[in-house]
Amino acid sequence: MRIAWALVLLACAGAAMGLERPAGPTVNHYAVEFQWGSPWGGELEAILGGKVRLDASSSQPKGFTSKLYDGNTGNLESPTASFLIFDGPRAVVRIAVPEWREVGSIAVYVLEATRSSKGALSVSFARQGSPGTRLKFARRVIASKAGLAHVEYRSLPGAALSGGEFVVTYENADFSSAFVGEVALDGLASNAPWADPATRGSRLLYWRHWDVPAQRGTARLHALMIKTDSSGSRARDVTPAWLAHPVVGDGSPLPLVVLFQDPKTVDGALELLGLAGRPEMSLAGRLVEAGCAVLVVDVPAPSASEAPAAHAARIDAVLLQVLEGAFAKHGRIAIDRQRMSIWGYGTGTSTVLLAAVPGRYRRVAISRPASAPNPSEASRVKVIGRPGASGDITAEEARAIAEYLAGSTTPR
Amino acid sequence: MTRLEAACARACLALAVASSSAAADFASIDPFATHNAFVDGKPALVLRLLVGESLAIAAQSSAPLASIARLYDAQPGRLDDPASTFLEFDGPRASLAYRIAPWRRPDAFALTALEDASAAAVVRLVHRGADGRSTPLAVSRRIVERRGEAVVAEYAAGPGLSLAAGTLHIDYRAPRASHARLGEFTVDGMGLGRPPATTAFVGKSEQWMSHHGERECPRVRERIGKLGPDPASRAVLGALLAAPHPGLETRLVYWKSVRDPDRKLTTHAFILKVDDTGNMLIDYVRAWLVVPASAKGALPLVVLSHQGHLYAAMEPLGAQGEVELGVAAELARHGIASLAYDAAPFGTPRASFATEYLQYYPASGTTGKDLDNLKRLLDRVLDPRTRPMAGAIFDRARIGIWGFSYGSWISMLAGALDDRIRAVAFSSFHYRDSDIARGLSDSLYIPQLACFASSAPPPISTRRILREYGRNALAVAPDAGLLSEWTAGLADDRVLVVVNPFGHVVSPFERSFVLEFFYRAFTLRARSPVEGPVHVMASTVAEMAPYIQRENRWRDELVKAIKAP
Repeated sequence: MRIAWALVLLACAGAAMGLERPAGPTVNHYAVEFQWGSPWGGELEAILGGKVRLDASSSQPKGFTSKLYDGNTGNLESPTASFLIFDGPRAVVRIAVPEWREVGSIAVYVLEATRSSKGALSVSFARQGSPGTRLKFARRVIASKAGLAHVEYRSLPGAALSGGEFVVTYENADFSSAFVGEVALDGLASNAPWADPATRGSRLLYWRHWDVPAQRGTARLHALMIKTDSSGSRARDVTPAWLAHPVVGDGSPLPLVVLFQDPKTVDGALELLGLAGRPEMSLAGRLVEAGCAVLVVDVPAPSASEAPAAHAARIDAVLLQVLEGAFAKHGRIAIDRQRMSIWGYGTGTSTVLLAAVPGRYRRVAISRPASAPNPSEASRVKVIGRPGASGDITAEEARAIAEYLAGSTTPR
Repeated sequence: MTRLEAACARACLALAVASSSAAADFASIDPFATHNAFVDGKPALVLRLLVGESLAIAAQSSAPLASIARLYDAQPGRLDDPASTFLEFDGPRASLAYRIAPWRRPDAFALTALEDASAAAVVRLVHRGADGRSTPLAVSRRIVERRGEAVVAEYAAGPGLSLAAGTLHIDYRAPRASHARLGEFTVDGMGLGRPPATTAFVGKSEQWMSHHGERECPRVRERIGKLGPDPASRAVLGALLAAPHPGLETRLVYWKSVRDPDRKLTTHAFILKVDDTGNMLIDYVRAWLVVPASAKGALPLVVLSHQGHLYAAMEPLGAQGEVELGVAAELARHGIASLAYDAAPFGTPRASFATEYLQYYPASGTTGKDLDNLKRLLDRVLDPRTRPMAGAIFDRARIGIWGFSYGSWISMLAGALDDRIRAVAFSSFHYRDSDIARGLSDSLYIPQLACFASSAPPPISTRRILREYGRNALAVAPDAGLLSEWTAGLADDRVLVVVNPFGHVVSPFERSFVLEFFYRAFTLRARSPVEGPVHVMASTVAEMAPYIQRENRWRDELVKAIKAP
């Protein structure tokens, strides 16, 4: 009888960790907004929460599995607090990798004996329905103390891995328990610059989407987190963004409008989506109804004071991801590059004027700039809303902004 | 649903469609806006939900020259800064339409405006019900602020209106002025930020004791009998066990349902007004009711009480935080509804026990407040009025609670004190007897717990909790065998499980143990069969061997620890 109930529990344990998370459309915004215990805690929690689970053959951890992706690789000063401790020497962890995610590297951080360690790591990656491929690793001792070694196993550079599952099997007879500090994808666990060539460049880290009833059918909202820099600073390197668009059955290319909010406002980009703040600012939903795809680029609060050039670089990197990156490959949204517009608000107008320099956008509009555009800019920039005027944009101005930006949707 | 409710619902739907602008509504998919609105602690973000989502500029109005959000920014308008605190219109007439949902029943409205002292505006408030009948409301005027000839005038209707579903039309015509200038539109006084004198809240517990406490809860009476004559202890106990603010009616002020077709459930986000300090972080408790899509008959309900973290209720709901603590969807999969709520003062980064609560409730701090909030939440969820919105009814004989860390503290007390809660589980409640001062009598432990003024752990041990619960309580580390013996032996009393009382963690296995606990407890007690899939049994005994060994080892450790001097 006892075994029967235990069997029931085992069945539960297997099912417990496989559920997709019911994240809301603002999780990407809040993941970067606050510090969640460790440098990369918020982002990693959003990116990997629900995607890391134990294999049935693993011994059981005596703690939360999130310790495997909390941005803390472990340390020898406090191994019992910084490593996930299993109740046996064998730890087997599965990490689901979505089709759109291109993982360039994986690293596993463990605790081993300094001398003659019996620790052995094996990592395979298998696409659904295919046999797994074993990855090769380089072992490096990060630190050692009193017979204990903090060890990093890092995969050797190879092709980007996507649409499958890592199976990380670690066995160590050095101790009665396996100690695993972190399972890091693409170096997302430290504040060191992204030196590994496999992890440099723009990368799509987080992607959720929802369908919303619209007056003309259905609208789709994609919440994204994109790696837009390689500095090692969470506030600089990760940019939240949203792409909203009408769902079109024929796959015809959509005009694109990029919206950039004043990064110093309280609600940030969420206002533009109608998820916070002033209703007049909810331009995204209005433009989607007008038939446009809308890209809203957010700036995390800790980075609000960055130079406009840095913000412009974020916009470029996000746009590149949408046009040519993994998102473009898997999003099944055709964007008409000849019909792109951009709009900025408040102190965000300087950023938009910089981002628009290459002449990529057919229409450039700004509202409430600190000062009127200089003569060289005036010819290509439409100012909607008096320069320097205090107060919010009015409902009429919001309508004018939407009409002007949507007006660029007519094919040339 | 009655015919009247159905008519109201249809009317509201029609109004919603008519008033929506041509924009895709991305807010309709966000069940956590009610949490996020409080994160920054800014009343304007909260009022956007509570007032702004139902308020629109009417077609006949002059055009506003700034955002309508100024009408619900918790700023009635100031004469020293009229340009940025009043919403100016490009003509003398300002018309608004406020949509009233069937469950809302607002009692009072007020509108402030910048005017000339000698010229009162013409203000009409007309309620148009779902049946199309129009009723004008009596409006009173008073001067809030005066500076020379300029005044801030407040036009008010109510209290005591209790308006039914429909629309309130507000028509303001400025006298002898080219522009209307409105400050704030308030419903039931929300966002006015006028806390009563702090002293009014000191001694709430004494009020409760004298008016309600002993009558409402036999357990309270029993425990009060054990207490010494110390009036402070008695007062604290009162604060803990029931309403910190007994005279205040709970009011439902927000409700939004978000369907999740993938996981076959609906999340109902709602906000209750539970207090009237004037501090929105205290006065409004946000909660989420997760209901399985295939809800039939009376559903069992588990309250999920979260740990002290910024994620707050989003963690047990599974949206954020530790995956092991997110159980709402899994419970729904087994036909069990759940109720999560943002405990005071978590969910707001800058709020703390000291800054937000102790000035109002110096004796009980957040503990008393959370217990009161939880009591009010359960009252409302179990109220028949909730059925039309939730699309479900809940089985009063099958109410459970699970908490982790701070949530386990609340779960333990709520389970002990609220007779409606029949199955109690709490995890990581690892306070030791050594924390208790020597010589402290058993009967005083609750008042001691109540003084939760610092971050020091409450001085209570698992052993004491178990003693309080009586014979059907077992302290178990997760053990499949014990769970079986225990649930099979249940009589008619309440049941309790303590999961991992030694560490501040919940492992994947412990998570499944808690789920199984509620499943077993509710199934065994079922008055009607629970709909939905049942657990699938694993296939081989060999698969279970390591688990059994491990659980037995943990149980041995537990027994050893309890026996230790």
